[in-house]
Amino acid sequence: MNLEQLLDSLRADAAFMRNVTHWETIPAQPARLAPFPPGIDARIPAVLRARGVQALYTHQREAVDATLRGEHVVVVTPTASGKTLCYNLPVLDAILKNPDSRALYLFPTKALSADQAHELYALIEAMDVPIKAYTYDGDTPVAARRSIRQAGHVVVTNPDMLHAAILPGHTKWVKLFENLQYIVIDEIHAYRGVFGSNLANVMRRLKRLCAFYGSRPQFICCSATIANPRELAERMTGETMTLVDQNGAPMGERHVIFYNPPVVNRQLSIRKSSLLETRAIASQLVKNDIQTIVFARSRLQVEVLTRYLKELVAGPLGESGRVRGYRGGYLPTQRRDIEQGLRSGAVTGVVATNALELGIDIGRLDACVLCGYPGTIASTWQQAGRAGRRRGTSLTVLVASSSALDQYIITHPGYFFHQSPEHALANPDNLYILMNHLKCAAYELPFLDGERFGGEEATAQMLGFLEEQGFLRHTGGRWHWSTEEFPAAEFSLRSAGDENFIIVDISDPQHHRIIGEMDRYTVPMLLHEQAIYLHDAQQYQVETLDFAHKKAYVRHVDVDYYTDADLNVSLRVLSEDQRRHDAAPPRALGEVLVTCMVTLFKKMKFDTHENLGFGPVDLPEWEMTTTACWWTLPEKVACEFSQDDLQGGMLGIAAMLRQLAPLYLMCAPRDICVLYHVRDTFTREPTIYLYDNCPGGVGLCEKVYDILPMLLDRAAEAIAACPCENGCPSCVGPAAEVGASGKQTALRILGRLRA
Amino acid sequence: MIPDLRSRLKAVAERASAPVPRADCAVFRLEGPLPDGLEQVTARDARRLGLEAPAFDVRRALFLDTETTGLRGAGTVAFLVGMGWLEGDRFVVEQVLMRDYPEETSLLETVGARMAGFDSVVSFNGKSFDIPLLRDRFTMARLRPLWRELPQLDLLHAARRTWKERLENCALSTLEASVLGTPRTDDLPGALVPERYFQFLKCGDMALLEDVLRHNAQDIRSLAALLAHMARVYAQAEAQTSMLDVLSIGRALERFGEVEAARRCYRVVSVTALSERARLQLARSYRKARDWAASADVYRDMIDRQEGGVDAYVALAVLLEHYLGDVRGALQVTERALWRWSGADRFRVADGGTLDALERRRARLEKKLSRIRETTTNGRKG
Repeated sequence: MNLEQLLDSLRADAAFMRNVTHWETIPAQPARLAPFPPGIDARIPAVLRARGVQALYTHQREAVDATLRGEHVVVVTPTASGKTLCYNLPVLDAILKNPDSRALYLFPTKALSADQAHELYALIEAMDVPIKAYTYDGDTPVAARRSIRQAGHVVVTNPDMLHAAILPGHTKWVKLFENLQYIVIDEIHAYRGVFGSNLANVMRRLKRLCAFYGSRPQFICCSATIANPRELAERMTGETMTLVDQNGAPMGERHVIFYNPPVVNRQLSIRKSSLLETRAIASQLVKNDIQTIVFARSRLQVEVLTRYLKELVAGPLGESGRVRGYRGGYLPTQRRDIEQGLRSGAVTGVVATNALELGIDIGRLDACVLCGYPGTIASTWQQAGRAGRRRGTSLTVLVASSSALDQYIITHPGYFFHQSPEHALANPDNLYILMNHLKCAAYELPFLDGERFGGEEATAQMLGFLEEQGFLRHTGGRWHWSTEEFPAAEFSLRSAGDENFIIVDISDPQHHRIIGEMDRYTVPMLLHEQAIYLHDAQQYQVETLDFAHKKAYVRHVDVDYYTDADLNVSLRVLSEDQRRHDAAPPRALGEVLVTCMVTLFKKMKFDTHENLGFGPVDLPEWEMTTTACWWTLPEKVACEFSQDDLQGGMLGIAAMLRQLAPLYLMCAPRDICVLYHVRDTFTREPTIYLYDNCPGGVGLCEKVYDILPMLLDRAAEAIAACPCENGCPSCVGPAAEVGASGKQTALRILGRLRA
Repeated sequence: MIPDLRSRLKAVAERASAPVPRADCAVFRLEGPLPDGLEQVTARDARRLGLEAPAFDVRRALFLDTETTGLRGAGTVAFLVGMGWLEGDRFVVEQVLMRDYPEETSLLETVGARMAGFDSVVSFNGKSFDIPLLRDRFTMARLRPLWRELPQLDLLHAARRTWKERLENCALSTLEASVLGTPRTDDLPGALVPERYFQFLKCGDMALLEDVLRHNAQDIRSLAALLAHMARVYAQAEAQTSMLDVLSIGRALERFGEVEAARRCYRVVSVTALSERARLQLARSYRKARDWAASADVYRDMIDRQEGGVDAYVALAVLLEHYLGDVRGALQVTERALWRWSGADRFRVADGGTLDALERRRARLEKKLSRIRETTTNGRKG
């Protein structure tokens, strides 16, 4: 069956359609074209025509026109709509007209820069002009670096490299800084939260150096669909941006199906596993040779699904290369191989985490299955964008999990299809982040009296603080860096999650083999000793985890279970910075220390997912200082409830908030955490905490502090409106966890909090 | 027109008009006797030590060493620049110190003006540290027009080529003690210099910098002494007591084009315990010079002396077969190698592939030889 036939048969399948809550058909859109702009170097249209591009899409033309007028531009483009031309065209034109002119390309990941630079190289080669474009990152050989610094017209790099190497060593890049005409920030929507706050400050530093060397670069940014592309780009660049968001690229007919797995236990409102439903749907697609990408929510889900689908396509000799897993932990060569297989068609099915959400070029696929709601409208569209060809039909299926957020979305398709996608939030003025970059900036170039960093009024005060701390010396109207330290090495742009551990396969004692990497925060969950680590559907058991040297030694095994670790989180208030006593509820905002520890793991059987037993985990805990908002249940209210009721009620409220708050904060669920203490050592009253899940915080809790009454009202409404009897995974959690009266208690507590 | 260009231009204009704070740096001048033999250093000596310029006049050479606030990047400042030169029969050391950041411009101008009077720079690790750092400081102070690139003689590189194998490291203090025979006492370790300077900045007590100034002046004088010493060592390479040194010097000489002098070194070493390494160098030097016969002779010697392992046989066989046209000889050597190395000593051949390659070589040589025999026989018949 081809995709059209399969869609017809699905429509006729009553059992399938019973679970479909919505079927959206997005009609095909024809291409809207515009001629090449007059005045650009004739070699560019010539080489593009030779490659089959006879004209530009309207959005490309619009972007190029604005750029040539000297404006800073942000282009919003769906996946694969020819966005690279929006910046390659003006950049090449500028260099052809003035060979001294320079451009800097920034991509959020190394993998991406390799991919996108490839297209630029191809154009340059086809034009046969002496333009030099180079990738400059951690993999660039030292021998090549000098010539890149001197002669590279286009330097392709990532924010981390800019931060730690290029900016602190700017004197080696005089040619680039003196002649920098364009700065391209691709995938700008990726710079949310901490990463975004850091990038905005890296841009402040970059612009400061450009001013020193006398250049004033123009920004060209590309973003996937988010609610506030212009605002985000302006925040990242500190410039007024022109927005281009009318897509002119053609698109075939697209079908988006919302699929809610059937209820298997009505009383407990338990639904069939989204993982198994995804498996069934993806199997149908792959069996019919329809190129499909499956997005799972976690690395573990990716591995489990890959294993299932590989079994399905396995040939008589067990070869199953047509289905591949793809996630962050894979080594670059392995990833390249998979991407290549997708492009050539040798791979029919890919199971991925959102590592593939960013624009890595894998061509376009026919179908996309989302196992669980990705958490935001924006990333849902982005993942769905992987399916969709210029001609012909494509399909996206969203399979809901039983979480409240998923259930809300799947039963309110109008919300999804009519609401604008999320805002990408970043807070460059977060004090913790700002101070780090202020140090780097002072290191790079002494501050002058009266100079402001990123327009920050308190710059002088902050510099004064750094002087007190012994970092700076204020003399002769300048602030000089005066310690031996190298500030850019003191922190990473992506928080500690980037310290990778290496995974070593020791199955063959003669030949130890590195099979992957994992970030520091995930290691305690997935690579503790005895854990079953799944890599490309192979099972390994962790034998030793060498925390000090960041290495995990694993051995190949064949067992019928996987492991799932329990994370234990504790929280301590460090300082209370703001307080509203008179409000309902009384609440506070401050700094907290969060300590996380994995204490034990469960062994889960494949297929049935039943619990086969427990094991201990012996690992050091890790700590993070962040911002939190908290509110208490006053003593006179708390005494109305029994301890057990309080426990169940607060657990229920926490569960509801965890799922509801991201909708109002416009963030991903993982960006915040909710915790409650029935007895709290700081407030001495029952307390609920909501904190930013990253060191230093990014301003989400500040917003909660403001909108808390509304948030609690919405939580109460959502719990009251849930049709379950005593609680279910979609509201306060199953009764087995919150107790028989948990749902009612939660509602009563919320009522008293708002009284 | 960019909407906020106006405000931007204003900001840029304000920045440019901000007065560049400046104050005069401190300059110290010391004089001492000329180090022995410094005056006699010739352009040839300098080239042997790695100077990449045809001309060198020791009286036009500037000995330079900086003290800095760190090891890398734009935030590192050279707060003290020591420079030494010959003046009549005296060796002069001039130290330029910035007592605070506003004096940096003055320091750089002084250094730039001084450098302008010389034709080359002699340093210790200056190629990768002092010179790039100073260049960066000129850039940041907007004084790039005052900066001139001079040909460099970096004695750290030269010292490494000469003594790397004998000494545990080639730090200047190690060389002073082990090579010059003038060990330093109560010297300030270089790693403590930045901290000392920051302390000085806080309290302004010049006494804190005394050690630093002394350390720096000592470095400059040692540089001069080291250059004179190394020039002598290279001029009398074969007379060195350590055969490791002779071998190393030979390699350095060869690298800088003095092949005959290098071979003399190798020959001296070839009759000592380092015979094997020396002969290998010698054989390679002939080979590089396309003197195939001489190279083959050395390899033959090595085989007779049981030196060079299986590789000597292979090298000789290659020379005979491809360059000297002696197929029969090549076959003999190959057979000897196989006979010698495939028995009990097999385990000494690190790479098993070498023996396989020898087997293939023998087969090929045999075929070649039989073809030659055929041709000769046919020729005789005809």
